[in-house]
Amino acid sequence: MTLKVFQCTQCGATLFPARYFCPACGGGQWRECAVQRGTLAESTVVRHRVGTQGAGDVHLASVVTSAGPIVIARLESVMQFGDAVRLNLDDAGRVTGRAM
Amino acid sequence: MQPSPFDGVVLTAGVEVPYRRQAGAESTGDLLAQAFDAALTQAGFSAKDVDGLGVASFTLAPDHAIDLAWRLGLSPRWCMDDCHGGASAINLLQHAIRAIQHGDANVIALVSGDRFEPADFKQLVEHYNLTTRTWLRPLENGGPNSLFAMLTQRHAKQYGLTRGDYGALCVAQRGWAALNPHAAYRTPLTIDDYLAAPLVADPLGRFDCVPVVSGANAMIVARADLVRNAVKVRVRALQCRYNHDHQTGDGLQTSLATIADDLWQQAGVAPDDIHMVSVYDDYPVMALAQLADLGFARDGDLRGLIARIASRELAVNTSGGQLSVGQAGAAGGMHGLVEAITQLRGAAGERQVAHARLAVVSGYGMVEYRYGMCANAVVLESDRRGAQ
Repeated sequence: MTLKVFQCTQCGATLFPARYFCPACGGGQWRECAVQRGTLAESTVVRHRVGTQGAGDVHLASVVTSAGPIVIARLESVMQFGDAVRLNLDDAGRVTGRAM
Repeated sequence: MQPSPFDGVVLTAGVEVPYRRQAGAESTGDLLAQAFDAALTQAGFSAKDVDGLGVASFTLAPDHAIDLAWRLGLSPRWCMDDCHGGASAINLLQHAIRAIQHGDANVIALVSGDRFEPADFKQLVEHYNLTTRTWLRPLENGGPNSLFAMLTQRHAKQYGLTRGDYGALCVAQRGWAALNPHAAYRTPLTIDDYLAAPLVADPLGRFDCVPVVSGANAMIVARADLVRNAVKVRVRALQCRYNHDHQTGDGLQTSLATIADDLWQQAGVAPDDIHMVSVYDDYPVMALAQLADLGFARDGDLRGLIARIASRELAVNTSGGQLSVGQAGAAGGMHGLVEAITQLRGAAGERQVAHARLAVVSGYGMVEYRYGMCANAVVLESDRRGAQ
């Protein structure tokens, strides 16, 4: 599935996740915009998670989408600052990123 | 003297039920009741004097403030649940002051606390709000550590800081914790210990993340003329601001940056006048961000700020902060406020800051997607002028 972000039809502000009203102009009408790529801003390796042991590392990143909003994505592999990222929404509802 | 918008109301008790790393037999309600009892004793009031109750807790469910009021034997005229996490105590205080000034209540108890087994904490961080449940939990992100790891990277890059700079703050707070008999961690921490600790989420290591504990805090807010023998702490300024950037920024500034000018103007004092500071230290980066937002980093110099904290020229988080004492859920929002009240009462024992008369306390919290939405601050003044 394709990840969608939300653009205010009144002022053009583009946000993720979705809101009811636009914080910039107060408008309440939105158009969905598909985003498929972005640029990696930061990444981290989650090595310890509460309630889990030996569950393995999780690679996460902040990705600036081509539409503007920043999303948190799970990476398939280690990526670096500035890398181009292909974004997807998988069957488990996860925003995922991989190298383009 | 000019009339203050906070006239007629005082804080007259601030207590902590010692935080524990291992949850004991007591339920969340039990811990809140213990805090309530200790606060009444400190204030010199009876439960029958209390006509207002405010509660902040993540684990009191299915009970709410009114259920706790019933268990405490109270018939409140003012009753409030608060869900602002690290900003809850100052949020509750904002409302309690107005309730008393306008005659809706005379003596208000504000309590906060949580009891956490590891499973309770996992439940909390995975279902913190709908955004977390929908967009972060499926990533198996393990709670907020990963978000603040990336925020710390942004901060380090912007200000040219290294892991050792954040570590210096943790080491300084541990130094204070060594003087606090109720801190979960009191063993002195060296910068080498800090740097050698296992990474949790790069670049955050074990000592950047608050220990999860069980415990509770309470305060009594009362009409000033009803307080007889207890020490009084007055509010000089209080400001709250939530969602200042709607999660569209970098999170390096909290909304304190937007309210600091009004706060200091309302207080009639400046950062240099302040004797002790409590900032919400869920992570060292956020302690630094709040201090900078409040105006404590001269010329934006964060390294200089850290050095002044390390030398105790600036007394920050003198309990040891949540980084050493632990984070008891929603009590975390009240921990720093209680420490400030304790210092202003002159009751901080070995860690007492000499001549502490003015304090500033900030709250921060409620991570929506990438960082906290809420921040607030209060400037407090002791009426024990010259008493120390």
